[in-house]
Amino acid sequence: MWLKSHASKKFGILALAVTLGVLPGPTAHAVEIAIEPPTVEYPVMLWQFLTGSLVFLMPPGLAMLATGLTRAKNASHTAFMTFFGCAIAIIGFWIAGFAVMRGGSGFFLRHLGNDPDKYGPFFWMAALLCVAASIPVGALAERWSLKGFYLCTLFVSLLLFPLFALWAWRGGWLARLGYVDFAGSGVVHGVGGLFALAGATVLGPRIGRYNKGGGVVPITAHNIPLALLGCFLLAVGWLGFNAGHGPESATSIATVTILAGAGGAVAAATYMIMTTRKPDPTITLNGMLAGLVASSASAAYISPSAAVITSAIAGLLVCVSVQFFDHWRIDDPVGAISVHGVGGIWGVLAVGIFANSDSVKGCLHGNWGQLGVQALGCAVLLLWAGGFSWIFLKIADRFIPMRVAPEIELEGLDIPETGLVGYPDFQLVSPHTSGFSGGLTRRTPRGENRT
Amino acid sequence: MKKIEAVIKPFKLEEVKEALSDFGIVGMTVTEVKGFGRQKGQTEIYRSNEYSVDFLPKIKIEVVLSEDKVEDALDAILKAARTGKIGDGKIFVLPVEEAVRIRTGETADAAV
Repeated sequence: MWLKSHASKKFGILALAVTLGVLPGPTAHAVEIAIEPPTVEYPVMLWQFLTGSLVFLMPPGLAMLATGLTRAKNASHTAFMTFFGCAIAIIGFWIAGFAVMRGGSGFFLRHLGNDPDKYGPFFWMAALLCVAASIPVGALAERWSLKGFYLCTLFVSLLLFPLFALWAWRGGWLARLGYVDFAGSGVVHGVGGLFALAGATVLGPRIGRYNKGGGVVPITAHNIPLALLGCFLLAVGWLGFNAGHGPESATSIATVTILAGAGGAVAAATYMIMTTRKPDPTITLNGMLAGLVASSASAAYISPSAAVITSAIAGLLVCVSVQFFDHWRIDDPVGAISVHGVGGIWGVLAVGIFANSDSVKGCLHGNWGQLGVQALGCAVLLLWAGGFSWIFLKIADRFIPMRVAPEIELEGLDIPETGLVGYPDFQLVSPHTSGFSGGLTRRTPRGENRT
Repeated sequence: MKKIEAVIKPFKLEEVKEALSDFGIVGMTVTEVKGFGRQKGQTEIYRSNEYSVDFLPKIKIEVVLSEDKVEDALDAILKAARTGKIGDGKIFVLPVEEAVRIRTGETADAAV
């Protein structure tokens, strides 16, 4: 593997030793570990605890991102969905989701008993699940009913995420075919993003988003700093997300991760500056996230240069993809489908192109078979997380309406759905507007004359 | 008595307030408002789609003063609020029938 120098390895262990120091127990022991790297066994439990906890920074990141990029009148509803969704997902995973992932045993974690060494996988997978379950919130925000959301989150927690993880990881049938998804571009982000795509197709666009003449009507974000904070939180969480799978090369993976985030953001901002003269913070943050998503599948197998190229392509893809989905009237307020769905698929494919390690090689290094298996994985992902989710949503919608009534949508979902407004004492819907814009702006779709 | 209502650019408020204070105005009321004139708002781009901001933020100043001071007050506001660019705002002068200071019950010029 590249960049596996003695220095970087030693640094990783030192970081672990520092963490050991804050835990009860003899700190001198931790120092001894740092002195003799070759003989050390990595404290797996501590590593899982540390990186899993970092991953738990990602759902709040997604919550702030989705809330900031939507309208003030839905702020409480959007943030609450992500927040409570994590709770539902964890409970569902404990009841049966984890057992599904293990192939049918371990309901209620009964199999673990009193052995603390064995709890790591559940803790880690629950963290990943919370990320996957939080992704659709942004795409379906401002119109998703809470009851429908509860049901969908259970679906993701019990079936959608665990089964695909079973197939793609831990010796599942895709993994046996050679499919590689290191940290979960496909397993986590692809699943979340494609469920979001299915949801956005079933729910339909927000009222007023597309007009009859074919024009796309922007519905602007209400809090850009909050959205950017969410993006920052996600980026920090991503260090754990990617490095958690590879303690033996944590710093090289972390290096690839930060390069991927930066590359995606720079590429997206450059595209926006060249096409509209301004970087558009909301697209730039999408670009950073798309770069990070794309890096996850290959973070341990690619060089820093390949990471920058992969993420730059992801950043450009997201700019085009946002317009593509608008063209097909698939309304995604925050760009989650483009970032996690398109970015996730690209990340999975990128393994088959750029990977260059002892265990995995892509087509640029002579192994075309890898690209084929990755493409097969993407097809399965599309059918499962996109197609099967769509069927589930269509059927579920007949019993529990997935979408709120139009009058609730116009008024804002905060009071009707959660009983609390996000910003009391502020006027959220102005008398100057026709009801759906939520700000003092009149939106003029591209290609239409202003009157 | 007259009332001056001036709609100005928000960042000019401080200068206008200073100019009016220098000239002896002891009170004013300020409101954050939105609106458009011949400038007709601005066009911006959000996620690659154009939209227009038709109501731009402005500050409305209201000052009530005796008639002999009106000319000078208008001059002061004009000098302070003008940038020469579109969107500088407008000034309106209205007659005021009566003014009462609530604390003392004084009326007319004594009250402003």
